Amino acid sequence: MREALQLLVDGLAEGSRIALVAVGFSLIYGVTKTLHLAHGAIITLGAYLIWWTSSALGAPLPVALAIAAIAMVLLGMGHERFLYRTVRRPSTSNLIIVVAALGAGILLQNLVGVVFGFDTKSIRDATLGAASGGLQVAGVAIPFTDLGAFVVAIVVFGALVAFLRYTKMGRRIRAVEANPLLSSVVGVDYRRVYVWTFGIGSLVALPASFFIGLNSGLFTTIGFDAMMIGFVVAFAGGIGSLSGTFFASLLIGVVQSLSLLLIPSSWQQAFTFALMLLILLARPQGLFGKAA
Amino acid sequence: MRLKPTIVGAVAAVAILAGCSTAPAADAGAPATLEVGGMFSMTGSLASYGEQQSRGIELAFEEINAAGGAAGTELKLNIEDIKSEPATAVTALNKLASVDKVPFTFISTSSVIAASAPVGDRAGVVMMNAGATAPTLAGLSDFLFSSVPLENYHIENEAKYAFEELGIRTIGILHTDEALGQSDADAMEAAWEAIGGEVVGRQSAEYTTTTFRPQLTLLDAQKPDAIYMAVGGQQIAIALNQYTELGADAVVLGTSFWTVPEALEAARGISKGVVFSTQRWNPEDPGTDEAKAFVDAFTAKYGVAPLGNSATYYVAAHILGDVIASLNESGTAITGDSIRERMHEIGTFSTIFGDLTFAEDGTSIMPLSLLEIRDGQFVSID
Amino acid sequence: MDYFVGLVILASIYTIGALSLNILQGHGGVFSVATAAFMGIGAYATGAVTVEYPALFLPAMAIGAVLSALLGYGFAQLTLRVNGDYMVVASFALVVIVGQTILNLPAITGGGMGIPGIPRPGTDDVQLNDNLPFAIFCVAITALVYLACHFILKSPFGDALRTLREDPIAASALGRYPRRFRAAVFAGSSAIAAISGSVYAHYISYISPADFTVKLTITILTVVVVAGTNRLWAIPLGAAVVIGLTEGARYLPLPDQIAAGADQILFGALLVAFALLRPQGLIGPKKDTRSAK
Repeated sequence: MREALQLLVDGLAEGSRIALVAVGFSLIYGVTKTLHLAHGAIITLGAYLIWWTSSALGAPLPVALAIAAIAMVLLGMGHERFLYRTVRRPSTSNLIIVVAALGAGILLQNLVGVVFGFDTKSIRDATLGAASGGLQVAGVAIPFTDLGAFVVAIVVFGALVAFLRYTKMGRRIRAVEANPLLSSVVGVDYRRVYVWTFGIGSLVALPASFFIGLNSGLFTTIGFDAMMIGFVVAFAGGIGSLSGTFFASLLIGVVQSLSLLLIPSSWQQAFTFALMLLILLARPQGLFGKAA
Repeated sequence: MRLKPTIVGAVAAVAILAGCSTAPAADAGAPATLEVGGMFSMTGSLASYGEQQSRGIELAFEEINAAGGAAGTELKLNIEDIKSEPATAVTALNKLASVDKVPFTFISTSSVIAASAPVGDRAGVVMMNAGATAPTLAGLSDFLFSSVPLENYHIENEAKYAFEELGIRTIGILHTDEALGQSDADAMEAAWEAIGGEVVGRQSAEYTTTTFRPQLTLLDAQKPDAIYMAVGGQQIAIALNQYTELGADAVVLGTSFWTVPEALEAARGISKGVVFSTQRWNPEDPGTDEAKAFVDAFTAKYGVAPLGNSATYYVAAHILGDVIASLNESGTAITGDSIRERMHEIGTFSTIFGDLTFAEDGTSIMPLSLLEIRDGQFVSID
Repeated sequence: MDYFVGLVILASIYTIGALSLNILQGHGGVFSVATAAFMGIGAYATGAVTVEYPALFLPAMAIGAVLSALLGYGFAQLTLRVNGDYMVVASFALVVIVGQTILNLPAITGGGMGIPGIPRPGTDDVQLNDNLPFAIFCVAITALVYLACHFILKSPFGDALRTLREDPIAASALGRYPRRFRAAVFAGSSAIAAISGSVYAHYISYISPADFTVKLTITILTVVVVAGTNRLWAIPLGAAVVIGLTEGARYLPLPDQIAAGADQILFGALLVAFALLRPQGLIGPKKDTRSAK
């Protein structure tokens, strides 16, 4: 029983980290229909910037996070403005956009390695020891990194929903997502909205950079690896429904963790992905998505 | 590029030829420069090791070349990044063999060696491994030499210590699902049961995983005295940090390639201690004067102390130097075959680890050492 | 020189893989990244059989191709309603599932340890151990696969494929069943990918589940992108360009730190450049006449 609870905690933490990646990705795809496979590389860069500003430059953590956030937002917006917008022509197949995204991601990821080094780095020191502590509740360990990831994921999700509902740009984003043609008829500049969407989507990934970096240390593929799970979860959860993506992320994290009670650990990934595949097959719009 | 040592080497070579009596005159056939390959993971999951390994060799070559080369031959390292990928390594070795025409290459990473061995064998290129330890490496090719003991020796060493000195009776095993992780886990399971202990759980994770928490949770639930973690590279820190988060109730047993900075950092939270067997090497306490000289020179050149992989490849580089010098002195042409034969003929080399002897199948045994990570440092406990 | 002969072998592997992907994506309009999984099946079929019975290399290759075709067909039937970008997701899931299945069948596949010592094709008397004879073998296989693709695409089946890609509704109006065709294309493409994997196994001689991930598909995808989907003969050219680039990076006189990431940086830049400047590939019509699907 205690193990099950611990596995639940483990799973919620992992799910929160997935959510922080998947939600941004889902927003971007839902609105712009771009399979932004460079999202992972931007997350990697964010983590390395956090490391560099706090380790090499000695900046306090909030400053490091802010710098990383600005860089990620600019890069995300830059991808849309300069890359995807150029590549996106009426005659271009989706394949080419994916190719552009992958290329940009590979390029960025390796630039990060060349600039900062390909060895493993750690950002735990930047948290001034907070990363090492945790709570003990009924024999279950709840590390602060897990708690933080979970709380921040909820806060970020809530903030995103609020932004989309209550701000002017947020409403424009939702309008464009719902009906691009109609929105432009009423004067919404969809190109500007796209750029903003990428910016917001990249911003909400900053906590992902931080918590993934804390959890696994920094190496050049952490963003890509997280994104690959994140994007599958985003689709399985339901593109076009941010809450669907969010809850699906937590669900998958928990299922993945608890599955070890039933199956050998060497089948864990296959099980998780088979599950998501089945969801997609049974409900092509995703678990919580709106039917086409 | 290095100009000075070339000039020094050339001058030294001339001086030797002019009739110094310290060594037989270098044969006119001794090449001025010998280029050898270095197949390391400079990127990829094992990138931390690649840097350590190449640095050890660079320092050794610098020393050899500064002293006039290996009996007149300057040694040069040609690094090829193999990214921990067998396919990339095969192409790299092909290039080294047929384009750069090296008779010898340093090599690393068990899966890479498994793929490269037939290639080196066919091309007649000697491959010297001073880092990979999968037990399956023994006898893969006549041209393959391992100047580090394979992991089964370390596992037995560790198991013995854990059982007899630490009184550990039950262990859980954590490993990654790839060649090295699996073979180490199998070897530990066998060794532990052979010695009379009990394996209460075994969990594995995908080899690129970033979370071991569920696996560690399940292992911990069995309340073992110790957990053996057959993981390497970037996952050492992940496993240790995440085990700390769970409370780290058991002793942690590591593998011989845990001599990396990340391990020191991440081990802080393991209250019961982290223990592993590795080559007898501790930069904090080198032992001999030569070893100390190496530590000082390395620290001066790179600003960090040399860890396990730097030391092993440094040793391997000096072994190469000895062999080349020997070939030059006997007037033998330097080819893969002649290097291979001479290595077996010499058999035992004196190194900063002590005496190192190669067996018929190219494996070697050298003094082992048990290290504990205490207060952010490696401490010898035997 | 062995090195260049080795590159020719690599080019064959990539070409066959790219033919597989090209048929599926370029002509069939299916956006799948599962190529690596089918290459893996072919590689493991070859590995598992030839390690015990080296002379059975052709039957081994056939087994791999058949297994892949069956899996491809089945997967296509399952994912009939899955389109466009969603197929990327589904096919990625397939790669993970196949990889782990391979991992969990150690009796056949060696599990995480992989299969070392896969021999070159050959009978008891003759073995293609040297690179040159083996390269000739590879080129021959590539040529056979290429010709097969060429004739299939020229046939009525090929017309049906193109109709299907351009306009599935018209295709079904004409009485061709999109579903069955799509599944058939998938099967054929998977079989070809398996052959590529078999060659890979013979060449690298050591295979493990780690070799058959999305990363491999991305490499093959790059070949297809560079070649463009309009001319089949551009594919070997694309393979040559990709290999030329990544190998060429070795020779650049860069400081070690930069050299380490150089080939991947060039790789990424290549993809971006083609996407931006020449989406139709090296050898394509000047005007992109494909519809957006």
